Amino acid sequence: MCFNASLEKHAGCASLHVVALNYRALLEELTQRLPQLTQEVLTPLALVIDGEIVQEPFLAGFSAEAELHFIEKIAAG
Amino acid sequence: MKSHISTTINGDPVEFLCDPSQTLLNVLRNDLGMTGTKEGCGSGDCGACSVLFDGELVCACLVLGVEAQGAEIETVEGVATHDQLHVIQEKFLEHAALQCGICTPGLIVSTKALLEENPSPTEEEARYFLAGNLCRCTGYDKIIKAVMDAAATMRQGA
Amino acid sequence: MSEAREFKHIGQRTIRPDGFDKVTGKANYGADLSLPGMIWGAILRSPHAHANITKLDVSRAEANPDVLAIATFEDFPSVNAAAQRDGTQRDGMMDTACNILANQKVLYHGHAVAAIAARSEAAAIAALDLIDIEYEVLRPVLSIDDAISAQAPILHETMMTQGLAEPATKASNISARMELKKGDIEAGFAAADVIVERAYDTPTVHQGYIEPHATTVVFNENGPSMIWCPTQGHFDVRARVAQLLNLELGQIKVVASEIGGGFGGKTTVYLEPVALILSRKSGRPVKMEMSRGDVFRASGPASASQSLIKVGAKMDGTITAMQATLHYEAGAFQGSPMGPGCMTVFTPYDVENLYVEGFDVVVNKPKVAAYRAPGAPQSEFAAEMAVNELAKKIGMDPIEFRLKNAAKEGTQTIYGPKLKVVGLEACLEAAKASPHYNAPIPENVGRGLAAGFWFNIGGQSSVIINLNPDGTGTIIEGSPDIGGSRASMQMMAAEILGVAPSSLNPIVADTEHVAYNQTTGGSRTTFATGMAVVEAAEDIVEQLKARAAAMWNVTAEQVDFKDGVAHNLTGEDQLTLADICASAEKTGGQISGRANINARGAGPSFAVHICDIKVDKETGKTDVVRYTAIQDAGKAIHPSYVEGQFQGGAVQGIGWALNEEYVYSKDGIMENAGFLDYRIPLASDLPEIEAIIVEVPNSFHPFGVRGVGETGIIPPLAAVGTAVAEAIGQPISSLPCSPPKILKLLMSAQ
Repeated sequence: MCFNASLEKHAGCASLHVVALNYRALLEELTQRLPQLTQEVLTPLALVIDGEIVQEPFLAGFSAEAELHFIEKIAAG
Repeated sequence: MKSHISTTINGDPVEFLCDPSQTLLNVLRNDLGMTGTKEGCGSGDCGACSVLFDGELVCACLVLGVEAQGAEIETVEGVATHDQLHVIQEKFLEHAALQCGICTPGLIVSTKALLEENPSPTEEEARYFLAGNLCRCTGYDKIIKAVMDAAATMRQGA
Repeated sequence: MSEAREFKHIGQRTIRPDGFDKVTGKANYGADLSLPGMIWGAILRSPHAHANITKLDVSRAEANPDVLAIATFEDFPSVNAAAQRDGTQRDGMMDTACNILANQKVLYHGHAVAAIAARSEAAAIAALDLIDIEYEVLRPVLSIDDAISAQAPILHETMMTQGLAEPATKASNISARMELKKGDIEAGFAAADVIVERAYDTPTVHQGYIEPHATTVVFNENGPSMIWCPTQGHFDVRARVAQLLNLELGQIKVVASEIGGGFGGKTTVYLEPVALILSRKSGRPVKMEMSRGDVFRASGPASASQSLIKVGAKMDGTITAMQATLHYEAGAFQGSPMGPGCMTVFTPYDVENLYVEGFDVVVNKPKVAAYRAPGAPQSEFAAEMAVNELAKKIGMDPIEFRLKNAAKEGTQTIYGPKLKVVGLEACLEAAKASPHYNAPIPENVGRGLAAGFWFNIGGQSSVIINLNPDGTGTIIEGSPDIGGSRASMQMMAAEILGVAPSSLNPIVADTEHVAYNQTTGGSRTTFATGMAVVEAAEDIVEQLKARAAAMWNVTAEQVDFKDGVAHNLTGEDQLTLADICASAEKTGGQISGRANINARGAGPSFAVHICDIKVDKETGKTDVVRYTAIQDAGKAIHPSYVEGQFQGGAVQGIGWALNEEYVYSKDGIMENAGFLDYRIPLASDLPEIEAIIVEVPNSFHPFGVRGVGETGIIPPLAAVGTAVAEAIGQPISSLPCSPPKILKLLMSAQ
């Protein structure tokens, strides 16, 4: 799990290993380990799974080796 | 006081009542229900309301309704014959010369005026003649290709 | 996917299904609907850029017999004063409401204050004079520098800057700050042999769609009310109107008319909620149209920007560090595309050390809206200009310099993730091989080249395909077609079903006839709605197999379906799609396919543009003499409309770079609110725009599609800017390169 500069402020680190195979488990683990990283901060964000942007990751699953990033949802013209 | 106007639109005799301040564009769209002629600016800058007025290319937003008395007006609705498209219309479709299509009626009418006046325009002549018709989607490239192809096809047919 | 595939329809240049109506004037756009009993609405707009409304009295207007309804801010029940007092005001809607009808304060010239509906358009306009209004005029804030200075008047007393290291303690015109970083920026610059550092600015520009905003509405107390309007997203119009007027979604039906251009500018609401209030109060259908002046003054243009860029490289051409400080004007309310501007600014480059800081700044100009790759043209203009200057300093060809540093699969972006397979290198190679780049540069001509990046998005799309008993069918989708997308939907469905595209009629249904679709934007339609079309067609294929199996008394596994024909694998029998439809009555009723998806895996699109410009040294006038746009489409479904996106984007970018800008008086009055003075490119201004389609498939799409709509507007700003700089032999740092500015640069050099 990697954090960009905006999230690093909340997380206190740039990246960490998490044990989770889906979004729900990821959220649970992150919010438990890093209390600053609240549901309110994370749930509006899109999740990037191995480079694939998932705008609505609620049901997303991923492999144990996946590289994950949260990014702002992209709106556009 | 409204004026009673008798005119000819696309070959049909048409009568209407209009206020002296009403534009021909307003009459066409709001009183006669001929919405093929579009309004983009109301100030003669965009060409979306191009019509032929006694054979002359004009912006319908710059002509008063009362001026139509006794005139012959041709709008985009009169360019095709029944369901048979004019060559210009066919070429616009073939070359994908429209995206949103709001400028298209004006461009079809202007192109008709261009090719009636000059059946063999150079690309530069076409670009200058159509400079009064704004298109924001296409960058004009495919429009000019359609116009040049229509001109060539019409010359062969003539 | 990504293995080479033979396509029957995809990649062809078919005639668009909506074409006939559009070339004959039959197609109905926003202003083309009139209804029996219809009355007209008109809007009173602020003559000031910044003022408190000290008196607003509509009683004289109300007394006029022609006037049938009046609307003000107080008519938004979800956000009005009472709702604010009760704390029931809904989040996020306040700015939208205040933008549509001002709440006690006007924030830009043309800001809507009140609306009147009367029996005729002329009567409605005349009655606006009967509204008694008084203002206390305030000093306007018209630039980023002014807005962030300590002396600036504050537009919103409650606005605190978000995203600061320490929480803000007092109100500011900066609504938000964003910071992104990668690596060690100081070490990166320390390792550089050459550094370029320069400030750039771009003006407020407008999308310039030719069709003004317009709407016709009917309020219905007992059934769904109807809103007809040209929009990129009718489901979002429904959602916003429902929120503003405290209605349920099911109480509103929005019909997306044909749309006369949008480019991001038709992704929000202006007239629609106001017209519905007027219709509710008057009991009549109401029509409203913006004038062209209203469109410029009071719809949503694109942000003006200021960018400070610093780029360092080694003499061998390796970029070691890139840094940006970006300011975006949001207009009167927060929410510029500063975020995507920060995320895209350096994405074409694979560089170790990056640092970007962005600010969203409010000023007394109209609230900005999206404009094609929102935020990216401004920031990437600045970055690409600096990159070109650096390449020149090092003595490297701009393509070679970019190839040495190009983003590719695995490049770590500043916003986090690593890129998947992308086509930047392929675009650069195509540029290098292009006839244009290999042609000698004519005398007195400057040549510029620039790259561009945009993410593209997926999102929610819903599609139904109904087949008829004779095998023809209807594709019911909900993505307003802004540039020919119905043609591509038809082709994709035809490819899967093995029928002629023309046998399937694609329609953009209203909000009642298809499930939710996200707005047409983010270059998502051909990608995401296309994916839904493919899934719906595949759903049909499964049903066709089952129906054929029923006819043959075999199992569905014993049936193959290929090129529109079902084959009985246990014998020689064949049934065409039309045969199966004809017998559907016997096998379980008619056949429909359906897909409701939230598409993932949008593939970014990169582009590279080349521009040759001639400058008249006497007048400063510029002429684009040659232009080439190269872009990765992943897979071009309909090549003509893909080229059209490249060309249209390029020309909007050319306009942005050369002529377009909002001109304000010192009092904040917009002085060029018309197409004569706000000069978008004309046919006579331009040469042919050569379009080169590069296809590096997006592995997440069944046909490899990447969105193509937006990226094309990004590279022109720096391609043009660099070409002008080369032509006049001086750096360009400010857009537009309009004749007065160029002349000044030429004279200062003498």
